[in-house]
Amino acid sequence: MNRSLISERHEVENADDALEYPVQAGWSDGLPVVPPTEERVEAFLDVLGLEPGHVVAEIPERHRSISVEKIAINAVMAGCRPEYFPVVVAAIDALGDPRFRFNHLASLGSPWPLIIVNGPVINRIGLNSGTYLFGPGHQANMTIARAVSLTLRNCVGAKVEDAQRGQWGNGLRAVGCIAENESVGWLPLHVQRGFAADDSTVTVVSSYPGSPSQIRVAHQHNPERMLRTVAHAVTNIGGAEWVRGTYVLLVSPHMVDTFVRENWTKEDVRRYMVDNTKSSLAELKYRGVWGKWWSDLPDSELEIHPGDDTKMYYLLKSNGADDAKYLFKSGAMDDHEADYLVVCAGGDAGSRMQVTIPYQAASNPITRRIPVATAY
Amino acid sequence: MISVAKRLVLLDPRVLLAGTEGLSPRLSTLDGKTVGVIWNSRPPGDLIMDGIFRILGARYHLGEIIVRKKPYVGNLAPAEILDELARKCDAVVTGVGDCGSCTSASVLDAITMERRGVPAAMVGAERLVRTTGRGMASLQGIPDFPLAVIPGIGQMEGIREDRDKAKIESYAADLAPQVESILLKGRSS
Repeated sequence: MNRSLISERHEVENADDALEYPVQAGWSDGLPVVPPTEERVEAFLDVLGLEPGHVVAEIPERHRSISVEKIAINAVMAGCRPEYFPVVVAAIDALGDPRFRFNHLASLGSPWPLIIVNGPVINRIGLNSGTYLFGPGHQANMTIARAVSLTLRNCVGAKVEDAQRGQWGNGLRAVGCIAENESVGWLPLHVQRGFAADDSTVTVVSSYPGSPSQIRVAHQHNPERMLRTVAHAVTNIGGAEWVRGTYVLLVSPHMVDTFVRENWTKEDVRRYMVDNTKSSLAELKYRGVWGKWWSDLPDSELEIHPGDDTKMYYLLKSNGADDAKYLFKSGAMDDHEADYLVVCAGGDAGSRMQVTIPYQAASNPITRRIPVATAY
Repeated sequence: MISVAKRLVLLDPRVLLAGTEGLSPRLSTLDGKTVGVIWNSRPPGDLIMDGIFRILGARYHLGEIIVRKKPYVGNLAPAEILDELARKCDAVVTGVGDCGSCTSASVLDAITMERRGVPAAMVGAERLVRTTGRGMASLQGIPDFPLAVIPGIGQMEGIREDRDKAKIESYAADLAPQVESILLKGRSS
């Protein structure tokens, strides 16, 4: 189809220059990119049949909107195949949801969205949900994550020259796209979140660098002991970061078999984790979590007293008025999901689970239906 | 054999702004002016703001100071706050930015007020303002937007009212003349 593409054109002499130019122009993440020629970009736009200027996401925090043409250019550069394009578009759509609270990506904590894909699209485009989940190795996983990263870099300032000065950066920008293993008998994430089983969806969940973090579990035949190990680890991973946000718990299929055998549903796992992710008052004080956001808490309230080591505080459930003494005081909490998203993924051997750590009490997980490709 | 080089056309992946914006008209004096404060909710920003207006209050007969606390530190202030201050105020001060998302968000608050015709000064810690804050101003199409900084510092976590009074006062003393200059002259010094 011959559409009128609106992006500025840059002419280069030959194929070598076409590889060099985008890197020199600062369009790339440091790796070479596929040259975004008109033919390639057209082929991506044909998949969805949208006009090039169609706005997918408004990002008022960056005074910009992201059109489907710009996403196509960045997805071409990332090395996507055209059939991956609807997934990238849905992810950008999700990131433009006001409840995602886009500006939090400027945090020094370097949060970045983990992208979780559900539904029939997984098999259609060959997304990995299994062994060596975070890769490298699978073109769909790698290039969809990269396409989202490049789109935000080039369209809305997600780079250090602009409004992203994170202390450590985030590897999810390169590898943060996974699929759920939906064959284990647990409700898939998108069905839990209100979509039909034959819908395909992306869910974006803002997560700190270094997460998902890997947690070894020893009692492989005892659901409660497995989960308690993980819950205790979660309260420690972030150090003084005590975050009432949305955590993603990744459970491998052979571990899910154990839960299913013992009649534990996904919801049972979620509830157990919420009920058991807690810390003692002594530990919160020791780490400086207690009083961190309450600058005039008297010294006597900061010192560790007898009994503090047995007084427990929940991370994801209210502890009443005391919440303000250890949680970031934020009105965003009124419209904020604090929970575990339990997802089956990863290799079918091994004794480890993984869990992501969310950014502050700010961002919400957002799920979007992946638009149906007209050309596939 | 000589191969024929084929010229190629590449499409630009970036979203660029058409042009840059200027500032709204400046004030001739702070005497009698109603000034709004959009406090980002991070301590000890409230105390530093108090200090700034104590100092400015000694130089001018300030009108009402209307302080509003943002419910969430890391994004643009909600419409109710922006609408109210745009309606009532002659000028607005935002901050105090001392983290990545809060600094960029306070710059955005200030620029949003400027776009509504209200002169605005954003204040924050130098290490954040010079980087994330300046980046946000550029992204918004006002690369030279004047910003007031507390020199040499980064994040202020752990500063407490009872122990750190002198520090808080010195930060306010650094910022007050810059705020004055931004609101009257459109530059930080």
